[in-house]
Amino acid sequence: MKRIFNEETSLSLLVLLMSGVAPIIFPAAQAGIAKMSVLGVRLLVPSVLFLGMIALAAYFRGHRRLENRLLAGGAAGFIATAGLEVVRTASFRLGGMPGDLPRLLGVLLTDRFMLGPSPLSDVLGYAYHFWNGVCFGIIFAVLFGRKPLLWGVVYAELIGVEFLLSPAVKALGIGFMGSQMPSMPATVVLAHLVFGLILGVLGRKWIRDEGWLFSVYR
Amino acid sequence: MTLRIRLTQGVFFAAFLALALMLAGDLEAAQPTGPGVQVGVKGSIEEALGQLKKMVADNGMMIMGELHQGKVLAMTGLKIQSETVFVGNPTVGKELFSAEPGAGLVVPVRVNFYVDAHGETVMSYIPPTEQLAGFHNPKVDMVAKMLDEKFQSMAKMLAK
Repeated sequence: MKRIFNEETSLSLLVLLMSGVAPIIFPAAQAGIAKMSVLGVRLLVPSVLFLGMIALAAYFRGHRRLENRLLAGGAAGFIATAGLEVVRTASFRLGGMPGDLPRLLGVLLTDRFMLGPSPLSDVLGYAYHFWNGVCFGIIFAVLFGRKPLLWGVVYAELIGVEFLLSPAVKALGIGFMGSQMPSMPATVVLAHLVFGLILGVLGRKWIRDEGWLFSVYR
Repeated sequence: MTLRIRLTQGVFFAAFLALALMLAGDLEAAQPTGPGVQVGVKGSIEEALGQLKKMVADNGMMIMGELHQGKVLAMTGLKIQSETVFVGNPTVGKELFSAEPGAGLVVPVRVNFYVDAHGETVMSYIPPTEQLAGFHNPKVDMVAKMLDEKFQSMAKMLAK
């Protein structure tokens, strides 16, 4: 009987768990579960460190498939976020967004909402924003492997829809899914389309294996 | 003998009157009093504040800051339970400040939780319509009315 849970899949599941932490802390903070500054210290930082440790373990233990997916997915996610940023920034400057999201993330992470942004909070906000993109890229690569371009687009749009439904958007006071400011959901859809396209293209180029998470047997 | 009985009766009457007045005072003070809206809420301050933090997002707002007066005053030796949160929303704030640059006096809205002399947790705030009326600006009044409704709804959900 083939074993499904070998070391590589176990490490892959841990990767998915740790990568899932960053995208959740902003909605969780806006839902009033805890301050984002607290979640940042207690959950985000440990998840980043742990993910690094898993990556090293994958390398030293010779799990080349996982190593490739971590690097390829992370890099693709990072570059895809840069593409998303082009759309988001343009829309914000044209008045299409209710606020500058990375700067908001920064003041929440540093607990200085009432003081306004600082250079450090801006750096941390943008770092967190791009780290989210890295995590989503890793999740895609580890879970699905090398897939057609459309998979990247659908995946990214699902992330966008989830964001629009989350407490993060509710708290902005612009109606259900941003309905009171239509340019905002339109920007989210377009920005995530760009994210998905870049993720899909780079994913096909860099992820070597086509199998999904549980397709490795020993 | 008659004098002693009368004195005793007088003491009992005075004691009864004092007790009746004390109880009446307690009943009268059952409703929190103070400026603005004062609502007796369920649970401790921490529980009420936790509930409010979860509700603000559903009402399209955010907790923008906190002031832990109880902890601050503990440095003076005073033991009191009082917490203030500043509730607002940058999008609403943008609308208000565009119409009236002086709106910073009022928003974000200050909501105070304290434990009164009877051990009850009270939520208090001054309705935005009251505070913003002084600007005599119809656009500001419209936003203030919307804010009032949100705070009323939250207060109702927290109330005993």
